[in-house]
Amino acid sequence: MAASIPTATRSFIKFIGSELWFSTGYRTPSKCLTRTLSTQSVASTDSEVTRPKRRAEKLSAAMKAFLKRAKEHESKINKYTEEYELGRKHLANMMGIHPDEMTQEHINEAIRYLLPSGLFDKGSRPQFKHPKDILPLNFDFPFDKAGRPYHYQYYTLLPNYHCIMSEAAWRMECLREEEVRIGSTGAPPQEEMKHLSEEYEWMDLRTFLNYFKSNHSEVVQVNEHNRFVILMTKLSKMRLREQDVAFLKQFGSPKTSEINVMDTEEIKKFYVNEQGRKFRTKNGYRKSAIAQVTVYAEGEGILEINGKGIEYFESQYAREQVLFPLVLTSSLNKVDVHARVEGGGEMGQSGAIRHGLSNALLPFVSQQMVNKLSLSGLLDRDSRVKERNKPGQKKARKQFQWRAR
Amino acid sequence: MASVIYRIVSKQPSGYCINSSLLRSSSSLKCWQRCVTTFRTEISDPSEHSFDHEGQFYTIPKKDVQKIFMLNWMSPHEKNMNKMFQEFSILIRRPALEVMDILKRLNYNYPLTRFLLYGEMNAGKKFTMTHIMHYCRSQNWVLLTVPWANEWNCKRLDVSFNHHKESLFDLPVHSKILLEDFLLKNMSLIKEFTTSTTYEFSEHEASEQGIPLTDLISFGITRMKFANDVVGALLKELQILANNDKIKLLVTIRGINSFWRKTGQKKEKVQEIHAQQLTLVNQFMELLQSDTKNAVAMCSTESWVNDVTDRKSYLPTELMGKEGVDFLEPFLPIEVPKYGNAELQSVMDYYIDRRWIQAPEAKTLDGRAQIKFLSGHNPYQLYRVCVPL
Repeated sequence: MAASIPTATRSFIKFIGSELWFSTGYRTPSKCLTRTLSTQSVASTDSEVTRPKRRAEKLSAAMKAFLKRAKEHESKINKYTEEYELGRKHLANMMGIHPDEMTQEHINEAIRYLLPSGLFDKGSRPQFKHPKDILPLNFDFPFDKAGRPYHYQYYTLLPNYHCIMSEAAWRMECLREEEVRIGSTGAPPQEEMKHLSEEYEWMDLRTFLNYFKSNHSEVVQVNEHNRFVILMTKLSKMRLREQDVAFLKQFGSPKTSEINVMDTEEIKKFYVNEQGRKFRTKNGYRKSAIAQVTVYAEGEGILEINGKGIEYFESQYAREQVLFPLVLTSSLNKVDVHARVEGGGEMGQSGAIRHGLSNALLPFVSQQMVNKLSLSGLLDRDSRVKERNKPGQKKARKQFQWRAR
Repeated sequence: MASVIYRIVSKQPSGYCINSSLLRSSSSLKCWQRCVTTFRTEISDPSEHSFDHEGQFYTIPKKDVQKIFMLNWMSPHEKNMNKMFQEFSILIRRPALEVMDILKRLNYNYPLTRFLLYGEMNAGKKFTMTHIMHYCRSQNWVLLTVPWANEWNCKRLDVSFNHHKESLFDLPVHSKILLEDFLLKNMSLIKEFTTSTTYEFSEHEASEQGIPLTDLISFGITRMKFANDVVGALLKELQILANNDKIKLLVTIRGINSFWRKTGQKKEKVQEIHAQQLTLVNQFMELLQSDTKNAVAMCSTESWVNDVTDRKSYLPTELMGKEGVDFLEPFLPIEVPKYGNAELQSVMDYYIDRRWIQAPEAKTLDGRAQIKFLSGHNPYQLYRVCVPL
């Protein structure tokens, strides 16, 4: 019997484990297994009496681990706060400010001066913050003394995520029932409403991960994000009540159509000619071709490139490159363009003219169009250059002929 | 509206343009299309064309097309266009009208007048020539055409030595083609004429005095060996006839600047041949310098003649060189310009009418402005831009 117990328990575990596997995805937390696993005798009648004790012992072991971790966390935080306070006082001393009057801005400035960093990711630059900003302060026990978790979806390992998803699904069911009810009464279909998904953009992947990590310290994956987006769009396309709208608005931000991309004064600058005509000169670059483009406002549509008209370019593609910014801003016959190009080949020169043209057109064009131009990428310098040849290869990518021996 | 502002400077009354512009600015496209087709005229007789008709298309009646133009004058590209558009219509443009105006008023007792057409590549020199040729045909002139003079300069042709002069080279095949072409075009006009003198082609072969011209020509066609000499004979005959006021002669040579270039051939694969060493070239040069009355020569300098690298220039002095200009002087230079704005609009109207432009965005004003921009006012480029539309 004793020998068979392990096998019996093993099969039991497997059964439970497989069930759990189906219910929570592909992770079987060891805690659950420890609860069912009992290497000591099971088949005896004493087990019913002894089990709660053992469970309590087992739980307390888990609890013990938890408590231990909590203590560690607390001590860590205390240590960090001490260090922080010390460092703060030193900094205040260095800067000559009273430590009580020093704000986070002072600290940031000082750190930027003392430890300058050229990293692009602002999050990876050296920072000096109170540990409460970085680590979660309270190490909350997600379950009570008896071991029952507070959250009803604790065993999914991502309780908050699944809570949101199930709430959304539940709301969808309610709305669907209502629609069925309305449909059965025979009322005519409502006019088209503007769906929330058109106005709002759901959280993109980064903010999504951040939201769960910072608030609930959960690690979410990409497919979870995909599921989230699908579900929210589905829900938003139904006839929503106010509470649903409020619920959905947590997870979205209004679309960026009203945000101004570039709004500096430099863009609006232009000069005035002797004849009183406004003009603006800008350089355009593409692949070793440099173009100096002057755009005169209130013009007729004259185009001049190095003294010639558009016949300077022979291929239709190159001509279309010059045409495109004018068509986009619908200023084909309202603007005069004079350009001087040097260097590069035909395509490079046409790309350079395009770059210079779109930069030079900015002050004569509305703010919305400026956004459009910058979003379309016409104002950026095309950084594609010819790839260098590498040793051991014939050209940049082409390899030598492969030989078996 | 736009066409009113950008009209080219011209003498004609503004009635035509304002009419069309008002129509264009009217609300619906259909209304405009139904109303007037101001890009066409009904008059197909070129002698009645005047400056009123500038910027409009006219169609050449089908019976003339095949005989005069299709055989040798038109390139395959234009033949395709003819097939596609189901008709042969030409835009009436200022240079053609000017030449015709001059021709109407010319005093034919003076010796040969030489016109020189020049212009940028694909600007429409050939079509002005076709217009003038149609006019001359309607006036019953004798047409002598050299569709592409640079053919004589190609590589690897059949070249044989001239019998009479050692230094010159014959081109039998090309002379034969010339003679055939001439015969077909002017069959009805030359029937009565006969040769005036005897021509000796070789020791045994000779043509006698008094043979009808057609016989002489057909002799040249059948005996390719003597075709080049026949051409010379023919030219002399035509000069005599013109001097006697019996015919009026129109000589058209396309690409005359090839006369002063090297051919691509080598004598016995060693020595290079210059165009001046060809008999055909010499014969035509004689004709052009002669003092025949009742004759008009229409020449054009083409930058096609040069190599691919050398095609930027289009002025006659650059293309022909000093020799050519000295030779041809005095001549009447006529520039064939690129399309003006009004002409562009009417050409686009024509394309839309013929269903060549089919995309609906291309038919709007914006689309037309874009097409105008892209084509750069060049007729051929306009055609190419409209190809994918």
